[in-house]
Amino acid sequence: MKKKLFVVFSLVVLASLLVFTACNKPLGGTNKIRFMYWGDVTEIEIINQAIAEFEKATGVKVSAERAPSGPPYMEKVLTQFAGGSAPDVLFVEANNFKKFAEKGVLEDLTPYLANETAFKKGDFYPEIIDRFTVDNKLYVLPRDIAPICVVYYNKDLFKAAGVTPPTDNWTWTEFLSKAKKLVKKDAQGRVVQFGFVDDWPIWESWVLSNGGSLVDNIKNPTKCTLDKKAAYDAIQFRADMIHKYKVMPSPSQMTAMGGMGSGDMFVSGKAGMFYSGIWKTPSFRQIKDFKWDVVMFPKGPTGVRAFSTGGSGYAITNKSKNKEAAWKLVTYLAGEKGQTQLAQTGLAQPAMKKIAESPAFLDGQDPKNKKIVLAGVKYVKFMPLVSDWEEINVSMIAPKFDKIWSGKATAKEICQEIVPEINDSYFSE
Amino acid sequence: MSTNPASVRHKTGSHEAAWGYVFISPWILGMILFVGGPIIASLVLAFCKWDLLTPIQFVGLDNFAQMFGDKKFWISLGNTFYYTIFAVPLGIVGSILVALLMNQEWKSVRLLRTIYYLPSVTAGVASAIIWMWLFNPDFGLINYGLSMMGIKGPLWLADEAWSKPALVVMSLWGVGGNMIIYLAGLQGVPRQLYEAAEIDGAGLWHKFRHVTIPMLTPVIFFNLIMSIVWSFQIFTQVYTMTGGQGGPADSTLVLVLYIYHFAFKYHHMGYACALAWALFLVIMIFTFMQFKIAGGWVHYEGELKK
Repeated sequence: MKKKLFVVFSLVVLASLLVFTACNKPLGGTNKIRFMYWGDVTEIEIINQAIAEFEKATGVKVSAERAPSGPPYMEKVLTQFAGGSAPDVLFVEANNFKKFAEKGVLEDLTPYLANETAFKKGDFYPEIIDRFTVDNKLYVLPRDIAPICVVYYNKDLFKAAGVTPPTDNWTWTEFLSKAKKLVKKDAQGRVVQFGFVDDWPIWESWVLSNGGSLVDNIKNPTKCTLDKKAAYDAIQFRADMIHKYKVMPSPSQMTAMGGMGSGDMFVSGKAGMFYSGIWKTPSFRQIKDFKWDVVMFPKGPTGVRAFSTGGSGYAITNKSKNKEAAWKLVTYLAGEKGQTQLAQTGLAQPAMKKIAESPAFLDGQDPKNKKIVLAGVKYVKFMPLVSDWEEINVSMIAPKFDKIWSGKATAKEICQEIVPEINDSYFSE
Repeated sequence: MSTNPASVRHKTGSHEAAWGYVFISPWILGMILFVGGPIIASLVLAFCKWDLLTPIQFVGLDNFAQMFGDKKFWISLGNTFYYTIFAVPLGIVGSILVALLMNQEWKSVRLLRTIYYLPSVTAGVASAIIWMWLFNPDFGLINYGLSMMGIKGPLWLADEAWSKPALVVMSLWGVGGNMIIYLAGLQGVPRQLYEAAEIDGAGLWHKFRHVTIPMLTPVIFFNLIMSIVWSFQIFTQVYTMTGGQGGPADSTLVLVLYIYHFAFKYHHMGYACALAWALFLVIMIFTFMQFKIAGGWVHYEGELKK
């Protein structure tokens, strides 16, 4: 009896193990492709529509999976790779794609694009094509490029403070003097209206427009260069805007806002200028209380114009069983129609130049000066092309820069402290 | 055959045992599949390099060697110790005090017990968000209270000197969970011991010191071990209150958060697993030490003294 039951028990264990392994197998045969992406509600709609059209035209079924952007997305994708069930098509962005490309899990799209009839390489901004090309192999078909060159400003606050609105040709100096004039304090001396806020600490653009750099060579970095004067002076400038000129809120003042982000501060009229990318447009179009427009990020003291950027696109995994269909799907997603629909949402700037320049994107709605993002493309600088950059940033830069932003240390001290550590840990070969 | 009573009993016994196994099989299965497997996998991975994309590489003790030179590992270990050293004793004293209060014969004591216990059944993220508001430097209740006493409150979570104390203060919010266990312990102290002490002329303090505390020691011991194990694993509150960063300036970077960074942000699974096992070892050592010391201060009423 005991033996019998033990056998039953073991069988139950075995059977369930089998069920679990069976579940782990990739679903479907070659007539089905899997696609992973992130995106907000409007993007989901566009993607679903593109998928529906693709399915109708080809008869190939697509199973699309969405995950929240950032670490949760990477976690899900990487887990699928680890489990041997990677998706066929993958949405990636300008920084995380390196992780995949470097490990050799992405298909070289160069031959596919060469044979494509609907569009050609030259249709895309060369800057984003170049970013997605490693050793002459194109790994990602670009969907959008997102120059972080947009200073949103509250026209009403400018008028109330008697400040002339900025022009695209302005410099740091003009920027600072306008920001100072926008600051308002209450009777106790507490700032109730700031001159300037950024979406997150976007210190990179200050470094770049000051003629500085993050690393010696973006495509093939051998050392971090934040210890150069041009770099730390620019970082100090952002800190000075907080503590010396008091035009920006400090991290503790941000905490005191009680969960209000810097974008919310702009929307509620607590900040005169807000620095980010064009993707804020759809939500800022809901603003009823004041008029706003955009202007290009200011030029540095020596006239250098440069800023960081984002961008994204679609890649095919090289283990895919149906690469032809996968490419076809990519052309539906990143092709003219997909990009036009994306342009119409105002969320992103299409990577195809002619669509970015078309009325689909330049739709005449707010912001009136939207064309700056087109002009901005040629000044963009991508983050260093190492898969560890995010890690370097999160683990070695950000925590130390906290001390700069809180005014506890100077940018020079911190940069000179961390650069040798970064070089030792990541760039010493 | 079955006339032998012993054999009958034996048969029923094995029969019952077998059914017992069947009944616990869901748990055993869950354990093997979802706990046992990952535990073994993480032990293996601790000696490997794995980025989830490329094949797993055996690297021997490299991950553990890396730990010794990893400044942030020591920072995170230090932060975890800081939290444990302050939060555990405060939590124990706090929950005994609350339990003593809740052990009185008041009218509304049952309601109060429920109220004190409530935080323990509240989701960690929700209470962390409430505490973010309480700690708000300008509008938070805590600094408002301090300002009533003429004290200018610190920036709490925004200041690297005050972020860890803030976590400790917040940990007191959970005293209700341990309170329940002390309460059960208090109510298990035999009346006659107090009566005997009273006859001997013991006052309130002496009764507490020489009857209540010794009788509670097994419960204190249990709570001490559990609290240390849990506080070494603090994660949810820190993750929620610092946006997953452990900031400002790494001041709240605790070990589990650091493990999380390596596993799910940087995707160095091997190193993350090695860190997890290091944490396990630290907890094991502490628990073992406590069991060693326990004989000296824990009093078991039913124990045979040698």
